[in-house]
Amino acid sequence: MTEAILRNWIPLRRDLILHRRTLVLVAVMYTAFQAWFVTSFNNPMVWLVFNCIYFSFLTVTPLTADEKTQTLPWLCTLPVTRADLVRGRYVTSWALVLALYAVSVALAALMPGSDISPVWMLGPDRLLLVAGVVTFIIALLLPFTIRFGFTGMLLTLVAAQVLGGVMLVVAKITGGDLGSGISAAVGILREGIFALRGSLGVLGFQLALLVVLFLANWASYRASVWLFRRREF
Amino acid sequence: MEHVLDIERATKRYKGFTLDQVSLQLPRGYIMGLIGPNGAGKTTLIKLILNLIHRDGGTIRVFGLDNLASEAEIKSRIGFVPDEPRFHDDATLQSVASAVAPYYTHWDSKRFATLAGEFELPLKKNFKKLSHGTKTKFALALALSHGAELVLLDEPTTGLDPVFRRRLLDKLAGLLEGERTSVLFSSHITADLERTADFVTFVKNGRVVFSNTMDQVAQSWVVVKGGRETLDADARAFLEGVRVRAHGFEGLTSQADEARRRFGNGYVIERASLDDIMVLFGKEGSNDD
Repeated sequence: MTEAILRNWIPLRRDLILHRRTLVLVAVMYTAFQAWFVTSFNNPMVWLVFNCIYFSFLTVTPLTADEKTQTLPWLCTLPVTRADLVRGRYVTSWALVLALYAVSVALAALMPGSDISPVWMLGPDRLLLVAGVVTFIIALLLPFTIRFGFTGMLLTLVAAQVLGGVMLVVAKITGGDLGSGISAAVGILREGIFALRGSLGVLGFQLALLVVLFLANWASYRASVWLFRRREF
Repeated sequence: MEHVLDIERATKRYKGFTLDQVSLQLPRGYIMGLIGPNGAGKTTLIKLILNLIHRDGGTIRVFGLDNLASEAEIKSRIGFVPDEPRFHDDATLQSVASAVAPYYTHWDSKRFATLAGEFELPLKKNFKKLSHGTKTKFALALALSHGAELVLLDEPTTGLDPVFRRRLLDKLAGLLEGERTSVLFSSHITADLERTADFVTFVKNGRVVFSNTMDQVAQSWVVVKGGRETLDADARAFLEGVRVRAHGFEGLTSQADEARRRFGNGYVIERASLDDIMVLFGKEGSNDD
């Protein structure tokens, strides 16, 4: 156990040292942004989801910095396997997510005029929502970024934009109402979640969700390892 | 004899270039020079050892272990200096060293501090502000601070001033005093290798031409010099490389004794330097003048 913690601490420590300047910049920007947000956003749920999307992208910053400075080949000469390097990336990303969420909670508690309750933010459902949104983005983004670098991240974003554009065009051509379609899909998802929650019980549902999120991260990690092993420097 | 590096028919195929069935062995406690023109495959071979690229065939054993199956263990015992060291631009040298140190069980902070002082490294400066030579010195200090048993150097002397080049070579020779460390040193500055290497491997067009001790190379390779009119078809067939000049020719062969028997009076036969071998090998007699 101690050895496993140490093995994961070493890459996290490396990122904290080598990307210190970027991380400080990110932290300052994030804090300033959130300080404004917690006093200006009157819909906490929308704010929470937006916040998750925002800091999920921020966690990829150190990885794109490695690409920019072309230090990945050097990292691969260190006495670790490619799988270790990839795991380090996931550990760093999740550590940053935790740190940034802690900043948000602190700001919600301490900023004068804050409309968001820190107690509400720390409720199990909200924490699971945060973990779910972050998992969805990180699990999708990291494999592409690890394989293709900054270009991979951009391609993922562009692909999402193109998909949205195509859906709008299709809706326009077929005379469909995209807004209603999305609302219907969200409604079905919501009903499904409530049905599942009803049948499993609150605790059972939360545990099941945790397992699913863990498996999604694990699958993303395995995909990233497979992709990173194919890279040549 | 224990080999720290044992490469058997290592192959890597790229579009337009193949590192073709390269084999070599480096015994513990020796320096091997890897020579060859640009694009010969020296860096490709070093990258294969470090698993930075995937091999398409053959085996690579380091310290008796397969370099893929025991990657992390092997790398913990290797020090590597690339031809163009790249670390994080905005990090100070001290930061990079402290980020690297925990990866190595045998990291020796005192040794790093000593080397940093010896190489006059500005530890508080950001990496991007350093000259190429200082970057190489820093990479070398990192490579030598964790008790590496195999040091891989890819063109380390390129861009270094002559004073430090000499100091680097002395440092490498000093590493061997304990007979524990081995060095694989790629360079096209052959004078550096002649000064330090015990073994030399010559790679050209992705193939190993020879991999021998320096003594064997000195004994077997010679340059034959003679008048142009004496360079007949038999002589051309015998020589492994020929350069024809206005007033004569220079030919290279690895059969020194046979060359002395075959070419008698009217020829000059000299020991071939590594430079001669690099320049003349495979040359087919075109006039350079």
